[in-house]
Amino acid sequence: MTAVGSLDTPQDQQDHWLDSVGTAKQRGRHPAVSLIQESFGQPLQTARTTLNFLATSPGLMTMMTILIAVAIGAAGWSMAESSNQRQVALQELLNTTEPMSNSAHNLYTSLSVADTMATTGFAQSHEESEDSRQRYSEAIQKAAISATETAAGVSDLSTRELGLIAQIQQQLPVYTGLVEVARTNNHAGRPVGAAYLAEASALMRDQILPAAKELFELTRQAVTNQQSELTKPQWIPLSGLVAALIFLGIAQHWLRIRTHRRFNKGFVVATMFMLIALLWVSTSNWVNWHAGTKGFAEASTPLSSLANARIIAQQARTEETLALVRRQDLVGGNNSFNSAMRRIETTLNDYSASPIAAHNNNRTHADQARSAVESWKTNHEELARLQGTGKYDDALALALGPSDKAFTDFDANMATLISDARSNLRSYIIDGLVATRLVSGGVLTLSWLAIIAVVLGIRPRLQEYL
Amino acid sequence: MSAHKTFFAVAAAGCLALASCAAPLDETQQPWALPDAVPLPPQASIEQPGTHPGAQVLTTGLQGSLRPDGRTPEERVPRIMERGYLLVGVDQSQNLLSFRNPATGELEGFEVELAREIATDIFGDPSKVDFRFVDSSDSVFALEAKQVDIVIRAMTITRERQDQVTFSTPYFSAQTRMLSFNETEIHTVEDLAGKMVCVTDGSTALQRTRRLAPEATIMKVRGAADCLVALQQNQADVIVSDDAILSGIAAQDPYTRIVGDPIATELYGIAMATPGAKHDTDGLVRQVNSTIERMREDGTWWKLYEQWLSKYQDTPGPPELAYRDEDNEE
Repeated sequence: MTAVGSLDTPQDQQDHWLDSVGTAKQRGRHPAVSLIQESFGQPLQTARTTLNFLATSPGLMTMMTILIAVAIGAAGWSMAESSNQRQVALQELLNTTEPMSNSAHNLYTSLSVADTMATTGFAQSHEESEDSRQRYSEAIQKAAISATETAAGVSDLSTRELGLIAQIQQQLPVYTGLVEVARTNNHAGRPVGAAYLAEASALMRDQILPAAKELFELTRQAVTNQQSELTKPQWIPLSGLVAALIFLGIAQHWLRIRTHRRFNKGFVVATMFMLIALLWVSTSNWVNWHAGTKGFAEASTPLSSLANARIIAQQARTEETLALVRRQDLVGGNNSFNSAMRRIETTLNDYSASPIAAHNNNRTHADQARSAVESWKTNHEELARLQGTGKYDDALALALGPSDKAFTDFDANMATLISDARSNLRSYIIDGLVATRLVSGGVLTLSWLAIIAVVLGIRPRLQEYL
Repeated sequence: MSAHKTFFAVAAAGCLALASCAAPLDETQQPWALPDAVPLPPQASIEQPGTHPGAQVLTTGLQGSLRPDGRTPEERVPRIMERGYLLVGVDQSQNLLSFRNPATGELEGFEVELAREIATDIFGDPSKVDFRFVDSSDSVFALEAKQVDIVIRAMTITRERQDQVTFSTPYFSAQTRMLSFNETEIHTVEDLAGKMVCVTDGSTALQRTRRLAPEATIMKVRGAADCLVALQQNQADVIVSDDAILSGIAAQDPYTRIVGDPIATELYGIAMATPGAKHDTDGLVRQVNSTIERMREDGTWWKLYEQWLSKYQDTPGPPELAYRDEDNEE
C-alpha cells in the first residue's frame, strides 16, 4: 500500500511536467517526425478515406467483389498450375519412365535368353546349334539396344540406374568375348572351350543378370510410384475451388439481404462457371484415379509377375541344360525346378483369374503357356528318369528336342502376354493424360469468366449508389 | 600470341595441380569403371603368399590295395551288375585324360578309356558306363553319397586321402611340373616367388606349391582347364600340376610349354568308397584291380598311352602293382 502511494505522487508530477514539455516540442516539430508525417501523411489520409468508403454499402460491395475475384483467381490459377504439372508428369511417365522400364525389361529378358542359348548351343552338336546361335546373336543385339534405350531415360548422371547400366555395358562385351573364345576353342576341338563357357555363364549369372534384375525392378518401381502419385486427387487445388464456391455463396446471401434482390445474374453465372470447373476437375481426377487403380490391377501387377515368371522359366531352362552338359544329377536340381514350375503356374493361374485375361486372346495364350509348362514338366521327369538309368544320349536328345520346344512355346506365349499387359498399362496412362488434357487452360478460362461475371454482376448495384 | 600461349599453359598447369578445376574434363575419371572387367575363372580364389603353410604330401608308407581274387564279376559286384551300368566320376575338362570332344560331344581320353575297360570286364560291353562330372572337392562326397561307384580323376594316392577313400593299385605314374608361356623366365621352383601360380583346389600341387614356393601368390581353381583360362587371360603366370595334365594344356595352346625339373612323382589311383558297414565295395576294388592288371599284361595300357599321351610326354611305363599283405592282417 505505502509503496504504491509513494510511487503515485511523483508519477503524477512527472506527467504534468512531460505534458508541458511535450506541447512545446510539438510546436517546434522534430525533423524526423516531420519527415514521417510528410511521407505517410498522404497515404494515411487515403487509407482513412478508403476505410470510410469501405464502411459504406458500395464500399463493402467493392471489397467483397475484390475478395471473391482474388479467391476465384487464386483457386483457378492453382488448379491450372497443378493440372499443368500433372500433364507434364504424365507425359514424362508415358514418354520416358514407362519406356525406360520396358527397355530394362527387354534388357533383362534378352540377357537371360542369351545365356540360355549359349548354354544350349554348347550342349548341341554343330548342325543343331545354328538355331541357338541365331537366337543368341539376336538376344545380344536386343540387349545392347535395350541397354542404350534404358540409359537414354536416365536424367541424373549419379543415379543407381546409370551405375547398373554402366556395369552391364562394361561386362556385356566381356561376356560375348568369352562366349566367342569358347566357341572358337570348340571349333578347334579344344576342350578348354567348356571352361570359357563356364566363365562366361558365371559372369552372366553372378553379375550381369542380378544388375539387370535390379535395374528392371528400380524402373518398374519408378513407374508405379509416378503412377500412384499422379492418380491421387488434387486435394489442395480442389479445396481452393470449393472455397471459392463457398465465398460466392456467402456473397450472394449477403447481397440478397443488402439489395433485396433474390438473384444477382453475374454471381449466378460465376457460380455456374466455377461449378463447371469443379465438375471438370473432379471428373478428370476420378478418371485418373480409376485409370490408375485399374491400371495397377490389370496391367502393372500382371506385367511384373509375368515378367518374373518368364525369367524364372529361362533360368530353370538354363539350369536344366547346364545340369546335362555338366552331367550332374537332375534329381538333385529337381527341387529348384519344381518350385520354379510351381511359381510359374501360380502366376498363370492368378493371371487367368484377373480381368485382363478377358482381353483379346489372352486367355488362350495363358492356356497355351500352361500346357507348355505341363509338357515341359513331363519331359523333365522323363529326362531325370533317362539320366537315372544311364541313358545320357537319350536324355540329351529329349532335352534339346521336345523340352526345347515346350520351353520355346512357353516363352513365346509369355512374350505375347507381357506385350499385351504393357500396352494395357500405356493405354491407362494415356486415359489419364486425355482426362488431364485441357484441364489447365479450361479451368483458367472458366476462372477468368467467373471473375468477369462477378464484376459485371456487381456493377449495376454499385451504380445505384452513384 | 605467345602471351596467350603462356597463359593457357599456366592455366593448364594450374588445372593439373588442382584436381577440382580439371574434374569435369578429366578423361581418366570414370566413376563407373569396374576394377576388373575380365573375371577370374568361376569360383577361383586367391591365396596371398605365406598365409597357408601347406601340408606335407605323404606318398610313402602307403597302404596297398586289395588283390584280385578268382571270383566272377557277378560275385564281386552283384549290385552294379543288377543296375546294368557302371557310374564313374570324371573330370569334365581334363584334356587327354577325360574331356568332352567338342566336335562329337562324346567323352574321350585316357581315363575315360580306362573306365570303359573296367565296364568291358564287368559287362562285356564298353558302353555300359554313365559318366558324372565331379570336382576334386566333391569326389569323396560323391563316393560316400553313392552318386558314383568309382572316381577316375587324376587322383594322387596319398596317406591323407587313404583315410577318406580306398584306392586301386596305381594305374599311372605322373610327375609334378610347371607350365608357362614359351618365353617365360620361370625355370625352377625358386622362380615362382612373387608370381601368380595357378593350381587346382584340393590337389597335391596346391600343397607342394605352398611348401616349396612360400613367396608365391596362389590362385586356386576348380580344374586344370580353368588354369589355362587364367593363364590365357594373363591372370596367372604359371600352372603347377602333373605332367599328364599339363600335357593336355600344352596340347591346347602352342604358346605354352612344360618347364623346369620334376618337382615330385605322383601315383594315380582309382578312388572307391572304403569297404565297411556302409559300403560293400570290397569286391569292386578287386574287380577294378583285375582290369588294371589285365591292361598291363595285354598291352592295352601302352595302347592307350600311345593314343593319348605319348606325343606330349615320356613315361616309365605302368606303375608297379601295390597290394597289401592280407594274410598278415588279423
